Amino acid sequence: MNIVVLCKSWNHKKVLEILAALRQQQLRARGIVALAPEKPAFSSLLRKMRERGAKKILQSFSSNGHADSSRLNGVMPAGDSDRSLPDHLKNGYSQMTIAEYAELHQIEMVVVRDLNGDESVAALKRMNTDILLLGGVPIIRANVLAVPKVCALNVHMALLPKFRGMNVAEWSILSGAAVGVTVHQVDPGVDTGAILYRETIDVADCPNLAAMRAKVSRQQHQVLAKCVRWLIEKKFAPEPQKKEEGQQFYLMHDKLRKIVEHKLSKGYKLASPRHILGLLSALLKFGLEMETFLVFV
Amino acid sequence: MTALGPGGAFATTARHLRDFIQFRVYRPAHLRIGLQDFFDLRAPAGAVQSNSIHLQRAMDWLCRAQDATSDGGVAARYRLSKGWAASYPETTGYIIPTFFDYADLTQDENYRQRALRMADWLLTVQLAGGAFPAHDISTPREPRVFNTSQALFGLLRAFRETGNATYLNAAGRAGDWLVSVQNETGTWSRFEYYQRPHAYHSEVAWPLLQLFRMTQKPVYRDAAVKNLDWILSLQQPNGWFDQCGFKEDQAPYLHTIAYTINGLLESGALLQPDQPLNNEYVQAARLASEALLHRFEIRHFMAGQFDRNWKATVNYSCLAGNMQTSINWLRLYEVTGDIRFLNGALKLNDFVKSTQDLHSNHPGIRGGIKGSHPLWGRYIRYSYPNWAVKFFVDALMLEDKLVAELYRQEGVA
Repeated sequence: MNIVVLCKSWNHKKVLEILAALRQQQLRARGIVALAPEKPAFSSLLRKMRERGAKKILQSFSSNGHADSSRLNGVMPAGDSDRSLPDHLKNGYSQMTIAEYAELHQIEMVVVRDLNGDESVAALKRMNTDILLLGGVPIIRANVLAVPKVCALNVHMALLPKFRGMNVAEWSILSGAAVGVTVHQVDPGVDTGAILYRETIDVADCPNLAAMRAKVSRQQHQVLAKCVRWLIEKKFAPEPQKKEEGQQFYLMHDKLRKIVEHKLSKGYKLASPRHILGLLSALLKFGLEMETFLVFV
Repeated sequence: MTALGPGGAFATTARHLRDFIQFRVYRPAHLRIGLQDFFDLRAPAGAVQSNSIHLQRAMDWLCRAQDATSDGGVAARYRLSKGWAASYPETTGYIIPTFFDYADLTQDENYRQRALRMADWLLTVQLAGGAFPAHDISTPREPRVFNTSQALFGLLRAFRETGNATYLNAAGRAGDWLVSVQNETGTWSRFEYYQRPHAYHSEVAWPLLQLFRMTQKPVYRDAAVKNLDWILSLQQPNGWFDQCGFKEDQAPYLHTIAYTINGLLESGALLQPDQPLNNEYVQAARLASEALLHRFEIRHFMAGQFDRNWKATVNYSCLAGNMQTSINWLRLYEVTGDIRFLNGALKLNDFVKSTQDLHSNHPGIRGGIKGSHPLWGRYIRYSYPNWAVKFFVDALMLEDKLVAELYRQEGVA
């Protein structure tokens, strides 16, 4: 099976985590098709200055010479993220770029100007793509999704179908729902493709949003790689989603994010069906014991 | 298209030059705004001030707009070309509740007194038949359906606050006039823009329902419901309302789209207060609002005009429409509990806050909200309309209330 990763060329952390997780499953990517960094157009710079303030933009220039390639943002934080990597890759790996990794492991890498363009389609065809993995990319059009012979897969940071779209881990917590990840096939809709696998993640030990996102992010790539393995072994059938079962969520405003931070700081724990069942059985047991006690008396 | 053609570089430059002179953009205070908008140098998203500061500046602007006229009404707008305009009955009508609300919020009697002065002025401009005039009072006084309905908001609130029957009687006469000029089909076309019915007349139906609640005269409710049912028939499966603009041949402004939604939403909530979610008017308002929310969130920008596929047709933002939409979303969050509407409204409010100049020395600019962003967008160009400021104040007050409630529920300090 030829596995190809579609990604942004500056999204080092995410892509390297996916590749490392694949290796843990004894799988190897056939190739990487990556989007070239966008040029810092004047209007785009102005927009970013407005959104983040001029100071941060200037800092990013002085640190890496490109406002958008933001290699610093893509570098894995030392420590936690390294734990998910195979031992032989841990040392110095966190400073690697996608291109360096690809070169080291002899994975073909093609950089394209448009992930939905002809260049991208041609590269995927040439790599004889069977399974296409999306590594944090914008909306991918049907012409690209039609290329892989088996399917295109994405891992989503929430339990589908309820939470589609952006910042979904945050929206799950704000809504009082379980946090988790879903591996799904990609169709032209937003997170509406058939579901392959869902896994709940306990975030009670995450004191804040950053920790929660890091934990979910770490686990999602492991789950994705596991699903690729199962898919190759034909261990499950995709379950189609119904559009009306979920909602599309968008970037969360800071005033709502504050509530999420608050919930996490208190130790976010969900009253899951398992907990409720446990409580009910305890009550039942207590009732039976009381009855026995009363009969005895 | 050539450089010399109607849309060519020469014509564009000539138009900008004409605007520069006509709207006195060369004046220092105007030039500052012009340059800010040209380079889109708004406050960074994280650097907007707290709502209370923006609110206070906006209310100061409204007070100056009232003081700019000697009659007690509120000047329609500050124009870069000609300064303050004359008092505008329609918007003075709906600014009255805003002043009462702000007086309640701040416990400042001054705002209440100002609201009453506005209401008293409204009484003096009511026409003999009960209608209120179109435009500001510097123009010949022609009766107008929409403007009359908006004056009702102020009169009814003044009556509720004071118990003075004069206001209720004036509201009754206005309501009777509205009923008398309604068509058999439930539409209003006489005494209206371009003599044609509009979907945004849902905003006429809503104050008529308020009048019904106060007077218990079914004729007001019946007229309102008849109009609302006609508006429902204009809704497309994608949520769009046909005839929701001023003109047939122009993509509607967000301002009138938001009026349409607001009238339906508030009417539905008034007619079925216990189960607003089951109300068909509320459902229609929700469908259209979801379409707008999606467009805004995907584009991170709210355009000023849309076509019937909800496609933005322009690159400027209609700030009054933004604030009306924010109010609609906040109310929808209240009614439906769908927190995505609150999330969208918070962002929309931040955007408009970032366009409000808090520091200008110019009394017509400081604290005001432009008709369009940038200043030369098609909606109320080069002006600061009082209704944009009014909707801004309403939106921020509602946001503060809802966020405080949510924080209390979630135990956030």
